[in-house]
Formats: sequence, structure tokens, C-alpha cells
Amino acid sequence: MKHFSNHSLLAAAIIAPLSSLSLPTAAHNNFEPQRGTRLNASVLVSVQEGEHSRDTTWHVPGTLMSGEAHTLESGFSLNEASIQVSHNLDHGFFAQIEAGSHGHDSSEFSFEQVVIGHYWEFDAQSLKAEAGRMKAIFDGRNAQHPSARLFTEDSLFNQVLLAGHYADEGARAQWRFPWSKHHHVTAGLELWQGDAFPGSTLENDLASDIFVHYNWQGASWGISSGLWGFQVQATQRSDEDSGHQHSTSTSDDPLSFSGKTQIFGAFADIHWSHANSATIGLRFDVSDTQIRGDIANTTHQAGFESDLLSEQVTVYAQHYPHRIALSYEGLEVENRLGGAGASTLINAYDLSPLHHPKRFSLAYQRALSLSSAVRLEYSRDESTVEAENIARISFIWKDNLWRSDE
Amino acid sequence: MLRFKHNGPRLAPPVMMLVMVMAAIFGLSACTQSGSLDIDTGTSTASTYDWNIPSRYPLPIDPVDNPMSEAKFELGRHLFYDIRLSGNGTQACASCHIQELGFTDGRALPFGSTGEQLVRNAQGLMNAAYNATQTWANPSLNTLEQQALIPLFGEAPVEHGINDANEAEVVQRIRDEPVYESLFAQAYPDLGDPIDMLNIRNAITSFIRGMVSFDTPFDRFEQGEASALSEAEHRGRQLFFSEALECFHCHGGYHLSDSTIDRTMSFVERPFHNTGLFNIGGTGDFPENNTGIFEITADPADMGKFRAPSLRNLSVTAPYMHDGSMQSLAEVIEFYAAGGRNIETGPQAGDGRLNPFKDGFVNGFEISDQEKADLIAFLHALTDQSFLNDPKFSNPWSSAP
Repeated sequence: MKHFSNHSLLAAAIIAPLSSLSLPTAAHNNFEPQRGTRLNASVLVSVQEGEHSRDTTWHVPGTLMSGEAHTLESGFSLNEASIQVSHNLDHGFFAQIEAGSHGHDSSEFSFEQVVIGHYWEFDAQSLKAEAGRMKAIFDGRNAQHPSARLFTEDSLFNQVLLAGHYADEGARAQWRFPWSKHHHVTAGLELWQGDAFPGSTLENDLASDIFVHYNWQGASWGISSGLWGFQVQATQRSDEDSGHQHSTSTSDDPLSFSGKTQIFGAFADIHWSHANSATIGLRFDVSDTQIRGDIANTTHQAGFESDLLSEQVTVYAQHYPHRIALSYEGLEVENRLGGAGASTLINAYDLSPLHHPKRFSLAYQRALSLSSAVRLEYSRDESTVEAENIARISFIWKDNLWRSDE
Repeated sequence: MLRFKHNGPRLAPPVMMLVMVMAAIFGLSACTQSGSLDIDTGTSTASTYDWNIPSRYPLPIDPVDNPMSEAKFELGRHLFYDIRLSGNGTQACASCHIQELGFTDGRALPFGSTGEQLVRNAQGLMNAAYNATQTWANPSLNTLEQQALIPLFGEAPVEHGINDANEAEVVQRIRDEPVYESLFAQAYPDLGDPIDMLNIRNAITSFIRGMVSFDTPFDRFEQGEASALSEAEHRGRQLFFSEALECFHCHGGYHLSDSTIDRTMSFVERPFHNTGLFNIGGTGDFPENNTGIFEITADPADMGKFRAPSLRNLSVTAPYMHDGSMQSLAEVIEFYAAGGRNIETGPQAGDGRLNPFKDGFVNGFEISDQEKADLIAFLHALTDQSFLNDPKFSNPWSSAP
């Protein structure tokens, strides 16, 4: 029998799976609604040196971004302040409300998720149906808050193609099929009203996604992986649809897009753990986006076809309360514009993708207790032609405030 | 037949799944790199409307909030020629814009539906889609949609004479015409009740925007047909584009105007010029009721500045100038040769040649009678006879409604 020091026992407790600050590797371990009523809260505050948004606009060359898209800004920021309330009713019904503010404007308080649903179990299989305002879960990371991620900044893919994260009103159905106690497959379908970027509010164009996730957890090794596809139609989507402007605009005349966006993606996370005290893992995310339609401002129009290949490779390791992660993200953009106004729009809206956007990130996180941690980050952000070196220190607090298993 | 065990470690399924996912990842990703850009400006996929414009000319702007369609053009044609579209039911757009006169009216100054005379000459409408600003002198009227409201609803002067008191009646007249039911339905298929003043205006502007043509002897010559211009027209062309006469500085390019906009342009100039028609009292003033963009900007330097109109169809659009004060092309050439107009007597007396706000290109020039005849011959070669007789732009009503 091994003997642990008091320090080791405390550290092991800090990184135990039930800890609020555990690694975000198993993205869907909460398939079964939590019992009773729970009130959880999380806060992440940071101080940052360096930014990409000095002139309030940030635009990755060659891309159509939402005006809502942004990078984190220098100085003190409240990056996340969130409260989640969930209640599991009898007979499988459950409800969840998540409200808070995060990101660029801490004065914006909103309901991020208001969900009601039903959960069934039969023959070891599970079904879950939900509806309301929700965050999509197709890629296993879209719904994560900065406190739950390895890095405070949204991924480059999420920033450019989903304006941070995809949240909309819709319905979701999932089916989980366990092959054994070690591994299971989850298949899901999400239908959305289609108002959120990259959709638009002008017409009732529904969005949808489908996903298959596979999880296997052995004694030491574990795998989380998935394949997914997402599509949405937009009608005269303007980069000012969000009501305010952080990115895209190099012109006072807003650019609108009408057409279809399809994204196909895959991810795989393979990790190895030792005696609950150390973990090392490697995660790949890749997606292929196809955008087909027309772009226009008030005076010019052009046909627009764009293919974006996005990839992210992340290596992470945790040993007792210490966690370190290293990530590379890259985008490859191919644009084809047709029509007499093409040249004008390319110049006016920075649609030439000849720059290679990429970002290197390094994060170290030290757990201070079961519910708090400090995170140090450095990133070299080459998402635009002018590279930025960004350093950030964050304090994270995340805890269950109240629970009732009744 | 392979069977997986139902107990103990199961490595095959996870390994298979991992291999599948990794294969998908590496199939999609080959390390991102710098992107690529492919531009095809030879076609326009943004609009299905057939402009019927030779490929060497850029297409006009097709506004996002009022895209072109054949159905809307046809509806607009009916409305353009409909006198019911006025307060007292007496005046159509076509009352002052007659096809065989290049969509001008042949008068020095037109009259509105109430008999009030306007202060500016009715302009031709061909290729109005390429005007960087509309009307003679208003830098804020950048679109046909903005401009169309002025003749319809304007009160000073009254043109169509539609106002709040009679607008519903005017719209009802349109509703009462059976022909319009199907025309509106085809033009606005997504609207349940499309007959309103906004859609009327948009259809009319679609018709005017569709009045495009580049089939003059000058155009054919520029496209390589050497025999399209006679000897005299060719000599006149050389004079027109010479630095001695300076004509082309304000009337150059395919639109024959320096106030031009099209889809290919990223920077649009909207110039206005004082050509020295007046210099009342020697202070540069123009007649009080017709001072050019000074009326809009109130900038003294803008006194007497007007947009240089396109010279297309010039042979049928007399009289000339913003006030219709010159009856012939010969008179216009003599005016520019003199470097302005000297009015010796009367309330408008003053030497326009010395107007302090006169454009630098109106300096006067020497021109012989032969050269004048050649230049006039060339200006006549700017006339598009096919456009003037094209049934596509003609009155669709078999009898006056």
C-alpha cells in the first residue's frame, strides 16, 4: 500500500475528477442531468498586456467575421461572471438556466442558456431531448467558459467562424449508447432558429448540426473524439447585426452576406493518467468550412466562395495542482470572388487571405484550492499581419454554491 | 467470423474509432498555410438581370435594397408612362422625358402638373444609372431612389404634385387599373399587397436604371470598328479629346461625364463645375433661384457649380445647359470657345468669363468654322438611334389611360 504525504493528499483532492477545476477533457460527462437543484457560479478576472483591438476593430484577413467577434483587451477585464441553476424534476424532466457576462463587455448581462428537457434511460441506453436557448455542443468545446478551458481566449476557429461561440434558440436530441462501462457513443442532432452568426435574422433560415462523439476510458488511457457537421443559411447578414462593432470593418459601409455556410469538423483527445495525480494529453481539432453566396455593400456586389481550413493542436499536462498547456492554431483561407465589384470589395473589406493567420499559446495554471486557481498565459497572436505578443494573468473561482439532492 | 469478447479489456473498438477520427483529421488537415485569392471580374453573379451591355463596359450598381429584375423593369415602364401617377392625374414621368428626345422634353424649362415652370432643363435619362449624383446640382442625391422622391413629392417646384392629402388617392388609381395587378405580383412575388408608393418608386427607378445603352457610332469606333466614324466625325473626336479644347476633362470616359459611378469603382468622385455662364455684378453670382450646389452647401465657392451631364444623345436633347439657355450645339461651342458668357445688359449683366469660381478647364480656345463643324459632327455621333427607337423603353399603354 502506498503512503501519501498530507501535501500529496491535498493536491490529489484538488485535481480529483469532481473538482470544479478539473481538466476539460471529458466534454460530455454530464449527459445525465444532475440530481436535485444546484447553483453553481464561476468568475474569471484577468490583467492583460498587449492586445489586437487597440483601434476597436480586429479582422482576420480574408474572412467574413461578425461584428461581435473580438479578442481580449489589455488591462483589467472581467472575462467571465456566470451563474448556473439546474433543477431535475421528477419523471426525467429537468431545467437549466445560465446567466452571466463574459468577454469584451462585462456590463452586458444576458441569459446564455435557458433550457428545459427530458431524459430517458432504457436498456442501458439514454435519450435526452432539450429545447430553449442553448449553446451548441457539436464540437465539445463551444459551450465551455474560459474558466473551464485550458486557455482564456476563445479558439481562433470560434472567434472567426462562430463569433466566440454558437448560441441560439433551438432544440437538441441526443442518444447515448454504451458499448461497455469503458466506452460509449453519443449521437446528436441540433436544430436552431438560425439567428446567431453565421446565420442572420432577416429570414427564417434554420440552422442545424449533427454530431457523433466517442468516449473511451481505460485504466490509464482515455479517448474523447468526434465528428460533426453544421450548416446555416444567411440572408443579408451584416457585420453590424450584433448591434455593435468590434471587428471586420475597414469601411463605414457595412458588408452583408447572403448564402450558405457549411462546416465539417473532427476532434480527438487522447490522454494518459497515472493514479489520479498526473495526466498528459494531446488534442487535435480540425474543421473545413465552405461558404457560398454573395457579398454586397450599398454600392457593390460580388459572388463569394470561401474555403477555410482550421486546425488546432494542443498538448497539456497536469501534475497535482500544476497544469500546463501549449497550443498551435492555424487558419488557411481560399477565396474566390466573381463579379465586377469583386476587386472593390476585396480592398474595402480586407478579403485577401494571403496572410496566414496563426496563434501560439502557452498557459500555466496553479490550483489554489478546490475552487480557485491562478492562470498565467502567453500567446503570440499572428491572426493579423501585425503580430502581437500577449501576456495575461488570471484568477479563477468556480464552485457549487448550493445543492439539494431532494 | 470475428467476435469481440463481452468482458475484459476492449481495445479494438476504441482503436478503430481513434483511427477513423485521426484519419478524418489528417484527411482534412495538411498543415494550414497562406491562403489564396481568385478574382473573376468578368462576370457578375450577384444579379440575374440581363443588362444587355457590351462586355467592355462595367455594369451599373444594382442596389441591394432594390435589386433589378425584368418584372420590376416592366412594371416601372408602365408607371413611367402613367399620368395617373400625379396629384391631379395629368402628368407622368414621360411628360417631361420623351424617348425620341433622349428622354428630355425639348423645352428650355419643363412644366409641372400644376403649370408651374421649373428652373432647370429636363435631363436625358439614358445611362442615368452611371450618374455619380442625380439631377443638375445636388451632391446629396447619390441614388435614383433618392432622386425619384423629388419629382413625385416635391413642392418647390411642384412636378407630379403628390402629397399627403392625395397620396392614398393616387395609389388607389393604380390599384384600380387591372393591368397592374399582375405586374405588381410578378415584380414583388414575395409581398402579399405590394401596391404602395415605395414599391411604385422602386419599380420606376428600376426602369430608369435599365435605360442603358452603348450603341452609338462613337462606341462602335471605340470597340475597333474604324469605319463607324466619318472623316469629319473622326476629326471632331480628335478635337474633343485634345488638350486645346479640354472637353474631355469634364465629359470624358465611357459615360462622357466626369461624374460617373459603376461597380468597379472603389473611389467615386462627385464633381461639379462653374462654366462661366453668369457673373452677376462681377461677384460671381448666378441668378438667385438657380445657383447650383451653393443651394445645398451654402459655400460661396460652390456658386454656379453644376454636374457635367453625359453628352450621349446630344443631337436630340436641345436646348442645352442647366437653364436651357442655348439652342444649338454651335452656340454651346462658341460659348466654351469664348471661355464663358458675357451678358452686357439687364439684371443678369456680368462677364461670366471672369467669374471667380469658374472651372480651370473653361479657358476658351481658338476654333475654325471647319473644326467647329467637325466637332458638331462628332457630337452627333454620340447619338444612339437604337435606344431612341427601342420598344423596350416605349410607352406600353395602347391608348392613353
